[in-house]
Amino acid sequence: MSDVGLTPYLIVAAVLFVCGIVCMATKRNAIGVLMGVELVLNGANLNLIAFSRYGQLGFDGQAIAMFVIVLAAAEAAVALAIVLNFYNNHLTVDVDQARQLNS
Amino acid sequence: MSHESIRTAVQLILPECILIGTVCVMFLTGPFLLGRNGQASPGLRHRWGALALLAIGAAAWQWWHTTPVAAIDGPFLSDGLSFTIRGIVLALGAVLVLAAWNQLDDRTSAECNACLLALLAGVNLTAAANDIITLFLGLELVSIPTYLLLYLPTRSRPAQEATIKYFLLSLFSSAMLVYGLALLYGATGTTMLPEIVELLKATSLTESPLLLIAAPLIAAGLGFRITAVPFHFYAPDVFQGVPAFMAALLSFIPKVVGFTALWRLTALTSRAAAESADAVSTYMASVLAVLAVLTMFIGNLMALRQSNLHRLLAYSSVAHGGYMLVGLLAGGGSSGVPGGAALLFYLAAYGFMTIGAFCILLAARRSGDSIRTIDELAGLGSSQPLAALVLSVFLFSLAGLPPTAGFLGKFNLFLAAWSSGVSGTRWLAVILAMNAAISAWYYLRLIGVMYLQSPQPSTADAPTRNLPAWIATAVCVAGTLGLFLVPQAVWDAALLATQ
Amino acid sequence: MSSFAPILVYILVLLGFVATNLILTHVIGPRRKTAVKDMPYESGMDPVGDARQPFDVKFYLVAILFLVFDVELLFLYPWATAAYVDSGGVPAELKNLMFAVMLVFMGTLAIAYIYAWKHGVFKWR
Repeated sequence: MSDVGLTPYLIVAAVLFVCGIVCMATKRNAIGVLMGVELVLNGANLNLIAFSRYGQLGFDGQAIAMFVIVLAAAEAAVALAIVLNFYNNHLTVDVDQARQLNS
Repeated sequence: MSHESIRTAVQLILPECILIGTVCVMFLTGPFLLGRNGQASPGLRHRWGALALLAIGAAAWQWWHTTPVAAIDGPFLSDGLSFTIRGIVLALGAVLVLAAWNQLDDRTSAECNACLLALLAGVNLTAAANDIITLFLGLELVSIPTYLLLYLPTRSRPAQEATIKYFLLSLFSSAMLVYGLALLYGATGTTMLPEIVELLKATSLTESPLLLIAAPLIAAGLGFRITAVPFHFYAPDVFQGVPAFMAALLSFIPKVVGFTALWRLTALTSRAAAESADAVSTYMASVLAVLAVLTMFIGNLMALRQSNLHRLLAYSSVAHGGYMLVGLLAGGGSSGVPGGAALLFYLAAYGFMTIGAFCILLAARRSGDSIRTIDELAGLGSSQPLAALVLSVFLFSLAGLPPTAGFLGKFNLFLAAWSSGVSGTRWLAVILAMNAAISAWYYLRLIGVMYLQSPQPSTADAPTRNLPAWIATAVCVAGTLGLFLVPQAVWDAALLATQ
Repeated sequence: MSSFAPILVYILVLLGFVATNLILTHVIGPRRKTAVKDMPYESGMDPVGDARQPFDVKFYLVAILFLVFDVELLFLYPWATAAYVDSGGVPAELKNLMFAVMLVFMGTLAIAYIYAWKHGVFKWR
């Protein structure tokens, strides 16, 4: 097995990032938006770990990645609670239905 | 790493440890004080509010006994910036607890007060961060309790809509910020903020394409928090939907964290300007300058045509974000009034006047949970003269007229931008003055409505007096006038941060 | 070879635990057969019919709690791999301190657990 180097990791992470942004921008479903966020965060994690591995930077990157994973889980938990509550009132998770407030 | 370094690191964040410890106590004992089927005895919220104030008092006592020291090698630092930000945040955090006091349900008040304290600890941690990890953790420790505070107090449809809007956009911005920070880490090869700042000044854009991508992502992530213009559109909707104390919180707390993080990441306010014209920090400064101009104009022009007070104050908060960005940008200068000090002074003044404005709307309500439309203000001058006078003080301050803190704050920002010697900031100073004039129109119009129009006949009974909200208002009036009459102490603290 | 002895003991204890539990539940456990209990097991759903039925809200609560507690355990891995190795891990003079820090961490998790328990999240109403 030959070592592939840093660049392929960065490319995969960038693809994840773009997928996540597109997902957030196009999905009308609150859970779908959340999945987009997770994709971006995972792209960032991949970056952090690849930099940590190939940049002689020690364990700092991996430590940040761990905090990012845990915070993503905490956000997902809050998200489930909020979306569930939204569903109870609106009977949908379509965020376009949230348009009562405007000028 | 040794015992010694761990002990110093913990000592640097003792005020935050007190706050977080109280949060744990609240979450632990909160559910045990509820009766069967989750009902609370009436008046339980007074106990939780008092405990929260006590914790803030203890943290403030601890804060007062710290002495700012120069940068050290570790995850936290306690320099002039974190000292000043901590003071501002603890003082206004106590005001927010008072404002929230009677808007909270007895049943959920333990959780809400705990979230408020956690959020204050998060702001302070961001200010004390010396490292990307602690900076990011501090920012998230502000965001997550904010979601909970949006979600817990009311379950009405508008509040839920505001919650889900704020939540999804905030997640989006956090994700961008994390990706930007990851690239920043890769490009600079360190997590320590002082080293990153040095590298950003020395590196030119052509050397590191990663930074070219990282800078806009970070600007977007933090721009959401300071409501800079392309990322401001959530503010009016969210402010309209949430209770008044949450609107007060959202207009102030995210701005403090956003500006603190920007300061730490760019250090535009340090006295030494960027060395070369194509350095990354110069590039970031020009991006931020464009954002500042757009933010001031769009915030003020949109505020002109609002009839809902929460929406009006939301656009006003957008515009004030723009003014403060001018201060941040002027900080790179080498002479005259330091822009960073002007920014910090303005943050304190802005906190007192915007939170005060929401508090008096809350305290002077005649029906519902607070005054929400301009029509409800009509004739306030004759029906509730004290409330009208107090609101006028805050509106004068927001418009930047003497004798209030807002005047001195705007004057400092203008001087800082005019005298900084950095190219382009003189234009920013001129635009700042123009916008202050535009904004005076809609603030003074409200005073006109209060004193010149006749009151609407009120059918609802006068609600019970909201004493904590009045105390909060009194503190804010004292702050708004006090920062004009005796500004020296706060100004000295702000100057300390720029050294 | 002797270094594998603890693993052998571990496997024996494990098998013994499983065997004892299986035998004991068969011997002393009460047994009531109902129509629902005799159905093939399909993760709590009806095995016949449309698979796209909405889940009960109760599942979401458990899912949220599982998500949080499961991921928080991530912080235990680096400590567990670094704390008790002879070289390259946590320095000897910091081992006790690190253990105390992990106890504080587990304590905060326990607060969250007690909070959820007192609010009746674990009651399957």
